[in-house]
Amino acid sequence: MQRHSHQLLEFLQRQGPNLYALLTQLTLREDIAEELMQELFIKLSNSRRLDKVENLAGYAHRAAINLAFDWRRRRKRTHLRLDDVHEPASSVNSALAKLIHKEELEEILNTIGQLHGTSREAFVMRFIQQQSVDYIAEQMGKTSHQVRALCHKALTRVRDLLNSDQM
Amino acid sequence: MTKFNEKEILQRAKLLSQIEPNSEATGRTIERVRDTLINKAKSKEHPNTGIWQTIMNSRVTKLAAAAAIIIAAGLVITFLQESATPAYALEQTIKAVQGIRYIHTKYFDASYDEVAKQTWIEFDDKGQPKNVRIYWSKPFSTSPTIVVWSKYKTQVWHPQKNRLFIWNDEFYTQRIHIMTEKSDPKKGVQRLYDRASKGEVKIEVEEQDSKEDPIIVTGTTVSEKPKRFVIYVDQATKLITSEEWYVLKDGEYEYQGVMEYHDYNVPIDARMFTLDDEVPTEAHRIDTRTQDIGLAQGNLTDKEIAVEVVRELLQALIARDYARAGQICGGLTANEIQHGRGKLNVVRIVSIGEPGPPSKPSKVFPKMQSVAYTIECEKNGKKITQERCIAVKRVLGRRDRWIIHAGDSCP
Repeated sequence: MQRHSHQLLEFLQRQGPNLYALLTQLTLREDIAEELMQELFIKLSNSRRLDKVENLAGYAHRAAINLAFDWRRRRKRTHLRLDDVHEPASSVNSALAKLIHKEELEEILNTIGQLHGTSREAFVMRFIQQQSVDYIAEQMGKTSHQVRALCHKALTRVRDLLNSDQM
Repeated sequence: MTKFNEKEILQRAKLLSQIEPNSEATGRTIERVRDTLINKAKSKEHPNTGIWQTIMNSRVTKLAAAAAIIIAAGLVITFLQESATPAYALEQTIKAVQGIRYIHTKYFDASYDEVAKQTWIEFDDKGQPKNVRIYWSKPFSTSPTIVVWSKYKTQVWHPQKNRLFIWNDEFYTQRIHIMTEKSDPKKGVQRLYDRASKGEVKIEVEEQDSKEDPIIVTGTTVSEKPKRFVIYVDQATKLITSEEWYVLKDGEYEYQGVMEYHDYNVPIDARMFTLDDEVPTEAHRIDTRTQDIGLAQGNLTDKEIAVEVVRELLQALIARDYARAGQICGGLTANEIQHGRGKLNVVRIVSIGEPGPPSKPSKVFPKMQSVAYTIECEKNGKKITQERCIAVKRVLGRRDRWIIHAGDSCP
């Protein structure tokens, strides 16, 4: 097997659970997250640039975020039928799962989906994945200062979008 | 109606962060992906797999130079015909921005949270600025400043100072042209393209999977102190939506600011290019087209008039003639002088030195002179000697008159 494939399999073993959790958080659907995981790794294996990618984890997370929000957009355009509505993904905290208002989470996720690439990535990593600013800076190839600025702007933008949607 | 605040958004984001798929679903998914990767690797070892298809499945393209992008785009189209989306090239944006008549830009500086500069520009049919409105805030201006420019008239309005300047000046018009070039997407993208063609800038293009995400064009200058420009291009229109600036410091690119481009070709209301409805009638107006401020140069040389302007100011301060001092200072009010330079309490001119070039040469005031002087002042009943320096410049729109420069421009 080629070095490229070994590299991906090792990466899957190491980062797969995190990526699957991220996709679940962004889609609120385990079944969709599973499909998107497949799509993500096929894309990675097809990428001719993979050997040149300095930070594979950052690259894959970015691709996963894009895939999840692409799915959200596609789904928004599709008219939902009653039997399309699935239960939200499970949670480690079952009491919490009961408390989660799916509509509220869908609303905020759809709003985050309106952010542009880096802004959306920063928001997801900082506020949903709860990563440290330094870690995000390393993953995104930016300084901590830039990441703080990005996160702040993204949060403000989400707030404005949510409030403008209410008008 | 719910009004969202940031705390509530963060709470919802935290709820999302606490969602975890169950371990069974995670294990199943990892196993399925693993099987797919192994099968794919095995099939790749056989030559029948379409290598071009495999390569081009990735739409993320990064090429070393703009010229290469164009060639690559051609190759992709030739080899793959309809099976892949053509790569983006800067030329598409150059074409898209041609002929724009209106643009509104916002510049956010890294040092300041709010918008630092906004520009509304109407271009003529030759692509030159016809009407411009600029709003400056920190860090460019200590107080909000609005500039409204047209070919023969510039108005600068300082709302907090309640002061309006009006002039018609060639050098200031040149400055406006330079400033609008920074906000003009036509100039920006053409400059980037030209520099890339000369090998001065290395270009990388990243196309996103989603049509709704922008194409990201990164330009990095090939120099000892590289600068980086990141341009976001709308996939559908190929128009620039924003441009970020970075400079390399301590091995990392440090964010400097972002220019956002809005409202391409959306006609700007003509009232934006006049201050008639904004400036109160009681505002202090200084119109150099009709008013004489400062001193006439007459037959004096630039150095001689510079000394005379300083002498005239100091004598007015000694005489407590603040209205006269205000005129020498470019039309400031007596009250402003009394609470500014008037506090020096000048009692005597000791000496005025030979004028020299300013520490910061100015394109708008190319003949500016800096003048060192020594004065005797009275402070708490005691006389003290002070050595100071002041800059003197020509009046905007009036090459024959000179005034004191408000900023610091001494060596």
